[in-house]
Amino acid sequence: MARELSEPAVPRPAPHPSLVLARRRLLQAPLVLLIVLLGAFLLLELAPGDAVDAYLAGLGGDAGLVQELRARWGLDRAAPTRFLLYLLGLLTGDLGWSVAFDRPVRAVVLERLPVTLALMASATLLAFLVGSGLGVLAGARPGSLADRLLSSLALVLNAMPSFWLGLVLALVFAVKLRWLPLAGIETIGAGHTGLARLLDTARHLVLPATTLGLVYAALYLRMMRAGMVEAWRSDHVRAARAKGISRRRLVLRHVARSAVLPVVTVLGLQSATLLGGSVVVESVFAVPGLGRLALEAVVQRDLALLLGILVTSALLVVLVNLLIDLLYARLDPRVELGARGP
Amino acid sequence: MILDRRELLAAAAATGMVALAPRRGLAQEARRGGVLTVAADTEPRNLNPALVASNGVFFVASKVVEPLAEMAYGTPGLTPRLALAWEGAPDGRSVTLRLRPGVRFQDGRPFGSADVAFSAMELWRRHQNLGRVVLADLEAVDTPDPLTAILRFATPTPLQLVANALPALTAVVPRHLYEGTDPLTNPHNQKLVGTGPFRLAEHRPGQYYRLERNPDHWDAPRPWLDGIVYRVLPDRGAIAAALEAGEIQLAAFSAVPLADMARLAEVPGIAVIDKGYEGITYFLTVEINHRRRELADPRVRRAIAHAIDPSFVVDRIFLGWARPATGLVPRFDTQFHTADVPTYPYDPKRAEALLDEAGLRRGADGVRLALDLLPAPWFEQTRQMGDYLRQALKAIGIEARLTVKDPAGHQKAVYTDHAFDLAIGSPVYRNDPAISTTILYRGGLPPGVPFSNQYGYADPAMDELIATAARTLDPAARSALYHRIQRLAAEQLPLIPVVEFTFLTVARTSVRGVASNPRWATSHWGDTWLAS
Amino acid sequence: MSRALARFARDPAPLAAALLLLLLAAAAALAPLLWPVDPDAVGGPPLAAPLADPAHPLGTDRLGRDVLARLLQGARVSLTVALAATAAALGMGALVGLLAGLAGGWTDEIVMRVTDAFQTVPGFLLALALVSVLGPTVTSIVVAIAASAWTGPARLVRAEIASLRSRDFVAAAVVLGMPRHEIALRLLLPNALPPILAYAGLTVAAAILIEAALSFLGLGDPNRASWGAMIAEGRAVLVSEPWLSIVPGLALLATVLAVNLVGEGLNEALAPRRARP
Repeated sequence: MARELSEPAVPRPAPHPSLVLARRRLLQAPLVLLIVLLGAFLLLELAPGDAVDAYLAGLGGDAGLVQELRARWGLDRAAPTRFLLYLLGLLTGDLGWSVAFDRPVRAVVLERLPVTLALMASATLLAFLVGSGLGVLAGARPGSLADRLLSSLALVLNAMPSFWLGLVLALVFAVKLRWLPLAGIETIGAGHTGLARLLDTARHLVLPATTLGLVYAALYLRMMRAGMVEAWRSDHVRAARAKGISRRRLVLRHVARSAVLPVVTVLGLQSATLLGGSVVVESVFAVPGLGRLALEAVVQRDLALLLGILVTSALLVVLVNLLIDLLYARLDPRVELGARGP
Repeated sequence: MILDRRELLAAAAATGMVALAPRRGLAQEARRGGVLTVAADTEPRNLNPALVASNGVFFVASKVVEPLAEMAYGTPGLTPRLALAWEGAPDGRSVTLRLRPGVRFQDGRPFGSADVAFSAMELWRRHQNLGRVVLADLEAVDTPDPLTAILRFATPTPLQLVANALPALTAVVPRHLYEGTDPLTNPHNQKLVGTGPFRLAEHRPGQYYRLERNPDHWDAPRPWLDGIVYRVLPDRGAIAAALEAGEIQLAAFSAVPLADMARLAEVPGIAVIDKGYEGITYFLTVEINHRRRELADPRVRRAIAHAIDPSFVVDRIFLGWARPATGLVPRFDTQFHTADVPTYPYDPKRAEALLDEAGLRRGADGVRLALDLLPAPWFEQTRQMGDYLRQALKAIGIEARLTVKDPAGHQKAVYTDHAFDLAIGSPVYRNDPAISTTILYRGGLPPGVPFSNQYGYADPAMDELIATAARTLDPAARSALYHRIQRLAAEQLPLIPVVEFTFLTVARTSVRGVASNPRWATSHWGDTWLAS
Repeated sequence: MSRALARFARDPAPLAAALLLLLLAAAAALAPLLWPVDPDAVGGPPLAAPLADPAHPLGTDRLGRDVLARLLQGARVSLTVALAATAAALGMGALVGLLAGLAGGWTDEIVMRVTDAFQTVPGFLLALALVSVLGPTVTSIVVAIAASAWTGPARLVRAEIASLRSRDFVAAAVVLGMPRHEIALRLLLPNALPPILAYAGLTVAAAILIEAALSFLGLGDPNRASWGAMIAEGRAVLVSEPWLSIVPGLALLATVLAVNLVGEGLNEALAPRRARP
């Protein structure tokens, strides 16, 4: 018990704490990744049925075929051997072979990654803009009618099951009104290039991104508002208010700015959940992204593919958090205030 | 051939229900042009039908790689494709195939007997899931000239069986692209090259397959369509909506939930077509693990059969689009089907009496027996049948615990580990009982063989009948043997066939030439066209 | 505590939400008495509309099963799973956090990297993989949800323990020779708990949504009706019989909303320092 705390106090003239954090995260990443891989490997190892069972489930065949496929796909080797071989391959950048797609895992993943990135980015952008925008509106005058309406809206949205919301949005906007495409990521055979293709993809992304983003918008709205309520009571806002700064300027420059920081942090933390949410949304809207691919990998018992997706998503999450740490250091008003003296 | 109930249902939806098939008489109206967009719910990892004989593969690949013959309505039940004629030797040791002249592969090279011989020896017989069973005794293929191929068998093999196997087993791939390679990893399993009416132009995984017209097809002026796009829509709920929104024009294999069919049939411009799948009839079955002591007693199996109300299954689960089954040969196949078998009409009282007789009396809690029930995840209906059977068994004092596994898990539990008491299965009938049906009754198969008798059922009389039928050359005698097999199966009831069902196609009315043969969805579509 | 309750009761929204939840829980628990209809019985007329037949107030589904009875059974499943998963997640989180916070050094490092690993994998993806591998039963769903939700509480408890360890009363206990496990269980854990209790509301709401999403994707327990599965089944007839997916959807929405409101009300009541605006 008498032992010292393992983490030393941050020394005074040090880089911003979030930069220290970023460096530590980077150093820890390989170990975290190894744990993720081991866990995923064990999980599919314990699963009843392997890739051959999954493949033959749709097919039938005889006993010879079963044995032949097991040998061909390397499933007759001992589990530890296969895991070690996989790790060795990983060191050389080889993610292995997907038995479900009969192609290299890297190719399969890289094909789907941009779609999921586009979906996540547009959902995040939408969530951030709508959420923080409405949050500023609500937090500008806490207790006002607008605040109460928006806060109620956020509560309802926050409780909304995303698959249900997607279903309702699809029914209204794609089936009934036919304003937006129902499924997929682009118009097949339209042969669009350049800007036309970008617009086409954007149109296809509207419904899935809205479905995925609205729940987070509600979260950011509530955080923004709460942060602003807090900020109104802070000393530097009171001081600024005393100086007679216009309310508009006060809200945007001082109150909202300090409230946006926690939102940005959560934005990073949410990147993993967002990826999880995209599994459901990609299923509802038939979006060919990583989430749906992961679902297929589990059903097909395609171990290499699932591991490849997890490696990719883990790298993605680490990267996003790193970016957020860096962004945080830029945004933190204390850095600026510190220059002026407390 | 339509059931009363189905007619009732059809009448209810009559306004929108246009039976388009078969319409060969109108073929001269056909016009060129247009791209047909259809829904696909799976993307097979290996698209080569010479290696993988499954409906998921055929749905896309049969337009590119053709078999020797295709099924047809009426007798004799086959139309020539790559083969013009097939004759058997009197001793049953060989079948001579006369091939179609002037056919070219899509890469421009000529098609000939060498390609048939190579496909048969190196792909069908060695690697294909069905070919390994049916063509196991194929010794050699002689090619006396480019248009003649002679299949030589080690044991007498009925011509009837070989002919019946032609549509599903005999897709021909070009020898010059496969020779000297490992057929299972050959890149042309994805980039298909065949002789069919369409070429595989592009596959975007997770999104679509795009097929374009083969201008050099032997059956000119067919194909009528400029191309076919298979849009991957894994979620069935989205398919009806996509059809209504005009994003796709056709959904095959009942890809639209049955519950939505009646409504869709009323939508102007959309038709529901219930033909074109007779050649790939499926059965809904209750699979029984005979290793469980109570279930080894035929009285208990019969009691379970008596507890099931087939009309409920037909009306509620299949909404009229199915028929009660008496065995695992569909009524459509008049060659082999017989209805002259013992039946087990819905009669819960009789069921309870049988269970009492078998010594399974209700306990204090009203339960006679607790069983694990594993509905297969393949179809919406196999799952719903699980829900229904649980209730039906409850009525006669059998408590069933449902366990739903994903495909791999189910495959392993039922066909390898035998970790089930009852399961709901859906075997498919493929034009001859020897192809994929008798394997469900034959004893002594090793564990791990999917869709086979893994039930612990073994009966010497049954095994003997199956073996004899497989080498009986005379068609009439052979059919008679299969009638006996159906009678014996119904008597012993190793598994319970509940209903036979086929699928529905939902299409825009502008799509013509639909359901033109009994396995239309898995055939060439050379005669399909789009009205303006 | 009673003052916290009084504060809680002052705000009408959380109070109403709490009442709603109590009603729902009571209805779910007493369903066999209140509405003695077998939710799995397939006897009724198929696809009966709601409010038309007094025998089926909320109508029937495709197989003729009573929607009200299924809704009540679904409530039971939803609440049981959510509460069990939350208890498991918080228990596991507290244990791991305590272990890491107390042990420090290498143990702490390893435990925290495992926590990181769990947080790196999208929670829903993890739950999905676990359920499809373990098979869809209520137990495996609880395990799967807990596995994706224990990391938050673990971090909280660890941080709390780390800060408590340097406090005077702990140092005093060490000096007095109190055994380590007693310090951990008697002094540290009780003081580290309040922040994770505040976490409970959020976890319950998330668990309800994850359970629904899993059964929507066909990974619910087939022996019991579940709201997500009801929505998925209703989806087939969304255009012609929309109530089949709208009714369970609304039930889901209302329940999660109520849980959130109650959770928030409790938070504010328990943390009066952060006074309301």
